[in-house]
Amino acid sequence: MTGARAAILLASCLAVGCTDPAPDIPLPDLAGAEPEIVTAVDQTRDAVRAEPENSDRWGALADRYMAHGWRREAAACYVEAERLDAGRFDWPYLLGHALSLRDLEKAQAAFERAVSIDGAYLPARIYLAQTLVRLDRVDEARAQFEQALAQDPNNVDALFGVSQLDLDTGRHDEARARLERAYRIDPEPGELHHALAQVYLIVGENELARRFAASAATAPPRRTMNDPRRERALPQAGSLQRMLSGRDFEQQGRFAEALVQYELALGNNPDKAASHLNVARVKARLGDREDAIDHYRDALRINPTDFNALVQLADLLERSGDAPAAIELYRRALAEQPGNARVLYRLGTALAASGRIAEGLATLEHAVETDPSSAKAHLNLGIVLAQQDRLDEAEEHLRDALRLDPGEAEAHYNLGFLLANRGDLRDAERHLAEAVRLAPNDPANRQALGAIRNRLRSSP
Amino acid sequence: MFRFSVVGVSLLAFACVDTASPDPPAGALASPFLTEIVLHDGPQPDWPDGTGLAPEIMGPGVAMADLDGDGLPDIVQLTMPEPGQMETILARVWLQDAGGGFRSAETLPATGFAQGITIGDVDGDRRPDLFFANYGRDRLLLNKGGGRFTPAPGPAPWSGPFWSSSAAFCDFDGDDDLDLYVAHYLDYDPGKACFAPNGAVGYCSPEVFDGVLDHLYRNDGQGKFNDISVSAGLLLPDRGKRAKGLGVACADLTGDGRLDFYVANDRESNQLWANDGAGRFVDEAVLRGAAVNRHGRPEASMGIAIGDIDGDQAIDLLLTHLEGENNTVYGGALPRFQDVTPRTGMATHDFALTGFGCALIDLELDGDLDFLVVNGKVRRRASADSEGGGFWERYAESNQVFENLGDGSFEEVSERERPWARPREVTRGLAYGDLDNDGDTDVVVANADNALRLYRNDAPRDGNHWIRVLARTANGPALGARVTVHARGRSWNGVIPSGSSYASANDPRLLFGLGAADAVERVDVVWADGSQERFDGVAINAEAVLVRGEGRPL
Repeated sequence: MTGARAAILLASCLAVGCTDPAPDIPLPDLAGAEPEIVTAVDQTRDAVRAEPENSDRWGALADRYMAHGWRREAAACYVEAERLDAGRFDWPYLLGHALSLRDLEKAQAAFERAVSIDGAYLPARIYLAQTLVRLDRVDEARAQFEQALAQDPNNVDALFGVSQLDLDTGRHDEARARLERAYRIDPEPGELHHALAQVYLIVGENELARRFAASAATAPPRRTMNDPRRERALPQAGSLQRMLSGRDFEQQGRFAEALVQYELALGNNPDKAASHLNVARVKARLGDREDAIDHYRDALRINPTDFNALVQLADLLERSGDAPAAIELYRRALAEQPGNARVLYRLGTALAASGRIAEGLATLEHAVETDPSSAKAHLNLGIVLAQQDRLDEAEEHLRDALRLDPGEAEAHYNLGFLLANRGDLRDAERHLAEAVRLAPNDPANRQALGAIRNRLRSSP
Repeated sequence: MFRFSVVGVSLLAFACVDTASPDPPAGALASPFLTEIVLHDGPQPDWPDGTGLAPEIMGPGVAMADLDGDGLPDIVQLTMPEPGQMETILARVWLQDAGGGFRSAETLPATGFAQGITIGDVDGDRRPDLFFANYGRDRLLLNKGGGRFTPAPGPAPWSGPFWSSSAAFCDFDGDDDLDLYVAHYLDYDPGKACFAPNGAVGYCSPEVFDGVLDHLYRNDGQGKFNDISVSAGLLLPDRGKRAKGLGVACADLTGDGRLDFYVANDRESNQLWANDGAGRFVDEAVLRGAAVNRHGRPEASMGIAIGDIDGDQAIDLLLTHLEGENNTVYGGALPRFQDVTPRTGMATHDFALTGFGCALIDLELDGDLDFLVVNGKVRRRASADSEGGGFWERYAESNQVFENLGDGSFEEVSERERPWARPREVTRGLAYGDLDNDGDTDVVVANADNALRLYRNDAPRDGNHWIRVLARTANGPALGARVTVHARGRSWNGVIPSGSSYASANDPRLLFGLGAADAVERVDVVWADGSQERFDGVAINAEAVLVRGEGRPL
């Protein structure tokens, strides 16, 4: 064994407290784990057993453990991988992440080893610097951030990190300059808006401070570091991973791919209502109404009180024109969550749509009383009132809806329509234009706006 | 010194287990300051496994206050229903008698699924009333004297039903009655099943659900409350404001003399509702640096501790968080806060633990605030360990104590505080106060399995002095008021606790450790309406009752 390798082995063992240079293959507690996960663990362990001197095998097992929350076992495997392949960047780097929740000092040491192997890979240096900050080793942290900036002057994470150290030490102008530079490079991240609001307040730029405080509330979540060496390919296993993967696809509008993942999750857990619910929801989005209804019914067979299944199936049935069935399901949902405003306004709308106006209005009024902050409740009450020619009350609720949620295109559309019927064409145009801006793909918005503009043009 | 004697009058039996070693042998660990008093109440060891319903792992809170007017703090224990049950829960009042014993005076009427509690005299009868923040409809019980309670008459004004988590009484509008802030958690769906990373059923992450807007109620002076959330500005149009509130505290956090509200939110930016003095509130947490941590990241905030940890006369906030996040210290340096966690030493601790109830109290009266936190996971531990693999062991964690080194930095001393730290349990509520009126702060904590533990403060005095301040108006303790004690050239300040910790209510008497300072020059109070008075001639090592209007205006 070379001196360097011995030193790394010692450091690795110190990291997790191992004493045996060739440990047994760590095995987490698999009680309660899904069969697909147990199988995946077994296969990955078998691979290690077959090639115990192969660091990639150990790394893959560590990855598997990390994916399923077994961090302690993952750390032990990364240590063994590092022992076998001391010059490889990945193992101390991933070990640092595995340790970062429970032992900052050991995580810092691991990140430092990673940086010593590949100092050009900036995410490792940034994580090292952030860990040093947490350890209150401020000077070392600053040095790492500065080094990162020397390597890439536009690194937003380093600019942000060192700006926080500037703020700590009262170097407000430097902090401001770095944050403004970071903002010019990437104006999106929420943390920059937060920090800029604070630094502007400190330096007396109150208007700017308030502007960034306001934008911080709606800025996208924290910037995710581009960190390809942490994203290691790992065959998926288990409901959670497949559900998360399905959710990601669903959020991206990739419904067919979402369905594949959800169906695999369903295969893992055919007796869980949530598995059917996910499949049902995506099938509904894909237009497979009958299959969607079947899966909703399966979910309700497993859990007759599954609130989401009741509401989503009711929504689907209502959209399909089966208002009586939808109303029955909404009522069942309300039995589970009495006073749930979202269900109340849906039920009220369904009742009104099926001609039961008085019941519908009463239910919608109840929804508004229950949750006066619900823009949708005000919106739907406003629409039904408008349909009954109770325009003053309708206008009040539609304006309430917009006060609560200015981005509610439906409220703009309906208020515009109402105002147009009253002859207030200018205001109507303004609301319809806003509806078009918010929902440009809705042809009804564009048609209504076009009609109003025609009327305006033909007005004296 | 008081004793927690066996005075149970119900079928319940207290077993007093004093775990302090009387004379540690040479070389042994130092004696703990906190002496454990375990109150065995029924079958906690056989507490059923959890069922994945989130409310069963988020409570309960606990409260400490003198409920029967005998000058001795009593305890309100919120008790959890057995896992899987969502209703039929009772709260229990434990009245302290002159001998230091506790008796179960009353099992309160069914209140729904009680999670949090706040205490204050809402109707001006000088008797503290109880507000229960419930999963379901909230509940106000009026104190009829003698430790007996009755539901407030008339239709309940509380909006909802929501999942209410914590609440705080304080007189935010300075009209001499207690108003009420209720923090709501999320729009929970009990039918939603969630999975741990290994596929086992677990408790859902808050991201799965929408948040719920908090509510503010104004007292009409007669003990009736009106929902003013909309006019006060809490119901903002921005959907992002539907945060997931878990902890709330009332105090002047902007330095303008008006009472503000600080809300700890779960995985959302925290809120600092700044009082504009005209009945409206604006969330200035971002602007004032108290919304997200120094990395710009919202954290899963649970409990709030308020106090001046570094003696700079500015109020600091210490928040407890989920595993993977440390307790965060927002250092006060008006007009803004700053995440100063690394310099307090707190960043290196508790990454693996999930903190809930908490307190900044001066354990040994040496003049600085120490930090106590109770822990317990909400995410199932992936691996069983030496403590066993039963359902609740997967969530159980040790509690912690951090000693202030005098400069606002902390050192963990949990090893010394074995009775406090050794049990691995799922603890949520923490309330503090001078339970035995001996001039130091005792603590009570509540577990998800209904175990209730008292900790008597037996820290060596080492000649340190103290003062206990009860600042009150005609309507009882001035919750949220700021108190500053001046003694021998030093000043200490604190806030009469209103809300804070997690889902719990604390003794409204404020106890200051003064170290070697052996005489108090004066005590200043900033009342709820911003007016200030100074009180002279205050005795040391005693309780000072400071009544509004009886001091000299400042």
